[in-house]
Amino acid sequence: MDKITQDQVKHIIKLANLQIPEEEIGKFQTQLSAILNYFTILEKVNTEKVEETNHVTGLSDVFNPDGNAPIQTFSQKEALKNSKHSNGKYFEVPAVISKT
Amino acid sequence: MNLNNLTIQQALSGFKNKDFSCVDLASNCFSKIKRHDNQINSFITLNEQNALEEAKEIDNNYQNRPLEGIPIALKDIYCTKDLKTTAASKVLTDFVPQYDATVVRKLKEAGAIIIGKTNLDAWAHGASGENSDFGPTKNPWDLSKVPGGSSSGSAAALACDMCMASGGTDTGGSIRQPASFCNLVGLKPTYGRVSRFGIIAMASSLDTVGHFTKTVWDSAKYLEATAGHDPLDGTTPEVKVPKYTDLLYKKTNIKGLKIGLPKEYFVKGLDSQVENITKTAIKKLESLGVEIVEISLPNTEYGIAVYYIIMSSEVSSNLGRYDGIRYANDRSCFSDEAKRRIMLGTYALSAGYYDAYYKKAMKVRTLLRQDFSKAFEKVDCIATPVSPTPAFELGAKQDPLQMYLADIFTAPASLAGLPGLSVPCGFTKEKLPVGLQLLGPQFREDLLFQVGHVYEQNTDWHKKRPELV
Repeated sequence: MDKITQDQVKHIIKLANLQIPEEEIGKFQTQLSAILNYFTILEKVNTEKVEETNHVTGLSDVFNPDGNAPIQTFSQKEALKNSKHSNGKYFEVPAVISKT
Repeated sequence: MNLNNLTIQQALSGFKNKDFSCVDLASNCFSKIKRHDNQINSFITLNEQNALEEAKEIDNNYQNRPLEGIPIALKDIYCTKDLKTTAASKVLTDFVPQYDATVVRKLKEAGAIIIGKTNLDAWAHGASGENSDFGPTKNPWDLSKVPGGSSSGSAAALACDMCMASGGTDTGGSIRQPASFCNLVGLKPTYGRVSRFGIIAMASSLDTVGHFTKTVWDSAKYLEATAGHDPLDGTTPEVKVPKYTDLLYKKTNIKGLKIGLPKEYFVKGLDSQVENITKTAIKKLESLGVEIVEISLPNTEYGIAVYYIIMSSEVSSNLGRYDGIRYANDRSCFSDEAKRRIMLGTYALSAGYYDAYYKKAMKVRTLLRQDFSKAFEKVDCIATPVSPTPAFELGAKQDPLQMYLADIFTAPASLAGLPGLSVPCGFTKEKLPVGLQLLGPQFREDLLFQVGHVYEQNTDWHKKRPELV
């Protein structure tokens, strides 16, 4: 049985904002199924009283001192430099609210 | 004279004695690139004009900075101001960063000359160099083989003496494995030892910024320049940066040092030549006074699953920023491997699956870390093979899962945030290089350098070079 269905793959594609042609979905479904199936090896491990590792540095609450934060700013021109969707002053984004 | 064949140590000495100029050295590197890179494909972008101008300025006013005049190539995942940075992906074909990564700034302040940006598996997703959107890089030792990945171009370029050192990143083995495949010294620093600011992010709890060099001394010298706390990267602890090169000469005696051999790393699936070469290297260390101790890292078999769940989850988040609005082409330009990892990660983090995958992986990660902590109570460092096989044929691994399983020896140390050094330790009958991996406790790069340096001084592997036609 496939670990993941085509419908689930389509749902993930939507969540991840990817564009994948219809004819390739089967291929990804097969590959993802195999990988997810491999991951079930972790079901063997007893992690009942085990804490999660979020990170390995041991650091917490890392702040910059007040008034001493490193300043890194771009000019408006620099900020827009790499955009293919700009009117020279702002970034142009897809409409979030429709006009009707 | 082929100045580009020198090590950093030799070049710095040569500059001091005025044996040759920085322009001479940089020009030699560019000649080598022009002669051979059409066969190897290690560079995406060259910085020739700027590099030669900088070299000329340095010749006019040599200031004795730590890496002054040294030509360095950087993996095209490091943001370099005004120099195109692509992550080897069609998504970023025209991206020109407005700033330097902290590591780039530090290398420039140390006087290094950035000669170009090297090829990689796109977004650092891969272990062969074949996932680049700009064509695969070839292994200079055998052009039908992969150089390893994801820092494929950085390894291949240095192996051909196209530069004197090269910068890479290592998230699950992407410096250690290509170093092993290309006969180089490759350092994966402790997580947090080197700033990740300005490095295109892959997996934020795993990414490290390391480098390739021809010798261990060179590696130590390079780390002196790049390591250190950075206020722009909140995951860099305030741990002092020792003068690693000084320590190399102070601690030349490795007698009595305990090196652990984890039994789980010497199992079925390990190529017999790799096993023999690695064991011979370990016997050599024993003859130099080291005590070999058999240890166990019992959760090793879960390392790949834990790594791929956590890494792809973090990748799915980090690649979310490429929406084509503020920069980059649109998301349809992602190639298959990036799409796969984004989908895997999105699934593992999604409602209903988060506990079974991501949360579970984070718990097993703790067990893997504990394996190493317990081992380091008994031994000073750990020695293992780097990869189950030597460099494989281009096109040999079509199945993504088969490619992932090759990270078995490098991924666990990444999950624990440990430093790892790969040093040349021999060649197969087919004349392919093999590296020895040394792992240490967090922030103990000095130990790895110490052992690696003594081993190197007593062997000749690192002096060999590939023959290019």
